[in-house]
Amino acid sequence: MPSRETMQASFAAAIWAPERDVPAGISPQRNFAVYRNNVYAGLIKSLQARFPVVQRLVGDEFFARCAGIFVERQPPLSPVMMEYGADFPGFLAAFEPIRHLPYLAPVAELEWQYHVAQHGPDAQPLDTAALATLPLAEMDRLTFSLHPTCHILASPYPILSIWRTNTFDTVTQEIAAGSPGETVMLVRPHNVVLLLPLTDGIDVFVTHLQQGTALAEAAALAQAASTRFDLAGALALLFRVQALSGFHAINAQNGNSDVS
Amino acid sequence: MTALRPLGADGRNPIPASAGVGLRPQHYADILGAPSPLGWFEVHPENYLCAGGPQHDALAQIRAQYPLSFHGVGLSLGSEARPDALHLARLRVLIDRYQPALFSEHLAWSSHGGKFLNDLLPLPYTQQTLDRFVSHVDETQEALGRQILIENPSLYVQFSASDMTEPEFLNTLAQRTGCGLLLDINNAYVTSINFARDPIAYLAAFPWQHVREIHLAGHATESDALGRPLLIDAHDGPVCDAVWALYRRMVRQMGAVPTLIEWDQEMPVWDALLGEALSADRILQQERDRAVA
Amino acid sequence: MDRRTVSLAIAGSLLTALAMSSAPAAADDTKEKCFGIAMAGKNDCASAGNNSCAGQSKADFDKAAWKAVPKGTCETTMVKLPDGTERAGTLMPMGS
Repeated sequence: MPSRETMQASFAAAIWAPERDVPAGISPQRNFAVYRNNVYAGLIKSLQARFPVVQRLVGDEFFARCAGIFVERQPPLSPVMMEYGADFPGFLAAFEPIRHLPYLAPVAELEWQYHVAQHGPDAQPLDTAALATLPLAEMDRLTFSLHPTCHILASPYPILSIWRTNTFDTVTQEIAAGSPGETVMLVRPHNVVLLLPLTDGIDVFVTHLQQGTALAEAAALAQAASTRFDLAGALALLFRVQALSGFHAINAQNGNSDVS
Repeated sequence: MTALRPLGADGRNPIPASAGVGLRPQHYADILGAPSPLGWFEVHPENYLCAGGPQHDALAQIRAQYPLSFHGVGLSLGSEARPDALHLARLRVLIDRYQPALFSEHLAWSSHGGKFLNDLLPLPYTQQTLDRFVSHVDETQEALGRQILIENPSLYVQFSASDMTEPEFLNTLAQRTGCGLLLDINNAYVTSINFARDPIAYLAAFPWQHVREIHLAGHATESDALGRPLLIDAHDGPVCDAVWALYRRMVRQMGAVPTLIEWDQEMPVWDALLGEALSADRILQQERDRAVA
Repeated sequence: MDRRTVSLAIAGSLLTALAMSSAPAAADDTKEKCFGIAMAGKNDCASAGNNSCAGQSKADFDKAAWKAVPKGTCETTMVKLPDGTERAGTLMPMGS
């Protein structure tokens, strides 16, 4: 190792790479392990708190080992710990020892998005009374703003079913092998994150609304995706969980009007 | 956000010279559910550097009823590098929003080479590290537009390069920057025991005239590789008798100072945490009475 | 259907949805029953794992070579891959 390295450079390097020697000039040398433990155990605990379902799925011991490797490879780049862990799902996806458990990374992504929704921006729900007074002929060209915490996650695995049984059940329910994948909408209209399974074309509908597609076109695309799509039911669901925070009527007087 | 309590004479909402506790989400409901006898609360601002959500909702409600103190853990003022300008800017926004009466940070470093180590790491106490720490405190006070307090850390190793004591370092720091000090009596105890020194001697040398806040916490007792006692600043239990005794001694010497109970792991029920704070309040009151008598 | 018919159908669905969603919800837990929403946060640890200034008491990070098998629930919740193959769950150490 270069001898001109600063104290902090060698101290930090010895923490991240435990095979390195304890830095010179400190005593007692044996207590350096306290700092190494504080750093690793603290960061692992942080990941445990963020990914409790993954931890339950693989067990505490395996999770700690796996998280320790992640910490070593991808330490936090920000002093704000609530921002740490965004890369953990991607790390799991490429982690060789769990290659035979391909649903772990998608479940981890759901847990991360739950955390993101929890701390995301607040917004008022849209004014349904104002919406009801729009001219009928303008309604098909409405566009909507979704709540800023609204996020849609599609997976080839039953991620919400796995998340729910591992979050709420003392004894987890078995999920049959080959169960269909799930698309989940996360939204936090007030203080609680809601997770909804989106089926029967609603996923297509909401995705297009989020992209700014007008109501009639989003409905037609959803209908094309699933003959079971029910527009009134889909909209009622979105109103009920306050996933919409504003609407945009294209032909309203004074040009565009945004109401929230 | 609901209206704030009237501002104190200093233009802020001062922390009373009584006990407060570190605010943790587990206790939001207890604190908001019934009037609390506590005078103030402290938070790590880093835990509120998010756009919205239940934590801001609770903090805004608590702030409407109580003064707040911010206890930063991310500035890494002891780093070789200057404080992170982005982090300072984010803290400034949060300070403007919640108007905390105090802002404290640590005599430690936590970041190096762009990586955050999430621990309060030690530094040698030399003229060079002092000069650098002074300039980082100056820069922080400038960026945040206010005085900050600096806390003495718990130490597990010391540096052969050090040529001044921690109290000497902190005293000069306060004189040169105008910053205040946060005296963590548990940290003073942990460091002293770990280096087989007398905690009373440490406290006797501490520049108490600069102290604006006291911290009390529990620690874990382990033993090192040679079987000697090794105390870890784990904040995972009640304040030990020895630390209570040192606290009483300091209050007798300094007068009443805002006193915070820190409890971060193995979280107790609210009543147990409240009980610790009321113990501190009792000592403050006894020493007030004693001074008058 | 011409555009006007489509337009009225859309408007009809929107008004129906507004009427449906304005029916009072008895309590938050009705949402779970009606919409399959999981209400998390029973024991809200959403803020755990954030910044703290505490040290770690248990010296529980040991970088020794390791071998671990999953003792969690993954083997009972999902054992088969989409292609129908089944694998034993022994997790071997990385490159050691």
